[in-house]
Amino acid sequence: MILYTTMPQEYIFPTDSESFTKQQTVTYQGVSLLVEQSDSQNVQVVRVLSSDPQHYLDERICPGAKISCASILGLSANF
Amino acid sequence: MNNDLQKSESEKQEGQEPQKEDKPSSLMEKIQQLGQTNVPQLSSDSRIHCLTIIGQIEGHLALPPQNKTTKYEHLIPQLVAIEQNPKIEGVLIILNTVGGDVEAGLAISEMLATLSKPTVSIVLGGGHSIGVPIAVSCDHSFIAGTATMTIHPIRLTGLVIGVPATFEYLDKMQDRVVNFVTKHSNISEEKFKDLMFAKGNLTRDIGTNVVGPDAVEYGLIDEVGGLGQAMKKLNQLIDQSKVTNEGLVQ
Repeated sequence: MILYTTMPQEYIFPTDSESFTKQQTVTYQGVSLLVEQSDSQNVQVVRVLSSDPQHYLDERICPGAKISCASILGLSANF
Repeated sequence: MNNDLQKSESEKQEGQEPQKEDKPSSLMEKIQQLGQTNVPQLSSDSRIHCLTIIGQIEGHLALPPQNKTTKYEHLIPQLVAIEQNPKIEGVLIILNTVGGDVEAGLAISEMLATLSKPTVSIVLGGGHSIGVPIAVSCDHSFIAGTATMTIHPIRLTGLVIGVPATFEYLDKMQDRVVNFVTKHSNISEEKFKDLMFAKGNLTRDIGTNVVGPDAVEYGLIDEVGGLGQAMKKLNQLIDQSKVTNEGLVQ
């Protein structure tokens, strides 16, 4: 299939809303993190959202690190 | 002797601690659940903060998670915090962006331009389209020798309702970008528009792909350089701002 249109791709192939709920921004130990659910108890860090370079050296919150849901404040109940 | 023994023992204990942390037991997790975690021992005196402008600059529509995006709702509160925190003395902006939403990009640029603390930007890889105003908004801008910046007219994706009105709107929007860039860099409006509407550089498209040394030659960016030079310049600007502040007090 070849499309020839001025419509943006997102309009033609809308992303399912499920993929948006998978990732969430949380605050853990005073640092904002973008996390993704890895299993029912843990979340995995996707991105550190901080301007402080020291936060990027903290191995507990480096991308890929797993954090238990219970230790995160403000995480929604369905998570 | 006794002191020495105690020291060596305490050193041993200290040496063992990290190993314990590596294997968090179920007990440790329970302690975390009770909210009794150790406060991170981060040195709070990093006086230079760093902002990364990566991927696409997201506008009012949230992009799907597989896209790498820079969100203004993340950056703007960080900039406000940087402005307010007296411990932070300077900001380093690192750009590797393909461009994105014009209004979000201009919002970030204006915030950076009006920040009272010294700012230095480095363009690594690419600082295309709306990345150009962000790069020039800082007090001093660097570009890596291999980095590029694409300068081209603003485009619209999606439906166009009412051609003359849309054209006028786009034209005004473009003027905002051109005015910002010419105000915050050494490039002339004429030269910038020449690059923007140049034919033949981008095959069939209009615009110019400006590589590191060319961007400096046109006056768009201040210097060719990388991280080392940028940090040196930022420290220099911090020292200068300290001197002028002290002067004002007296």
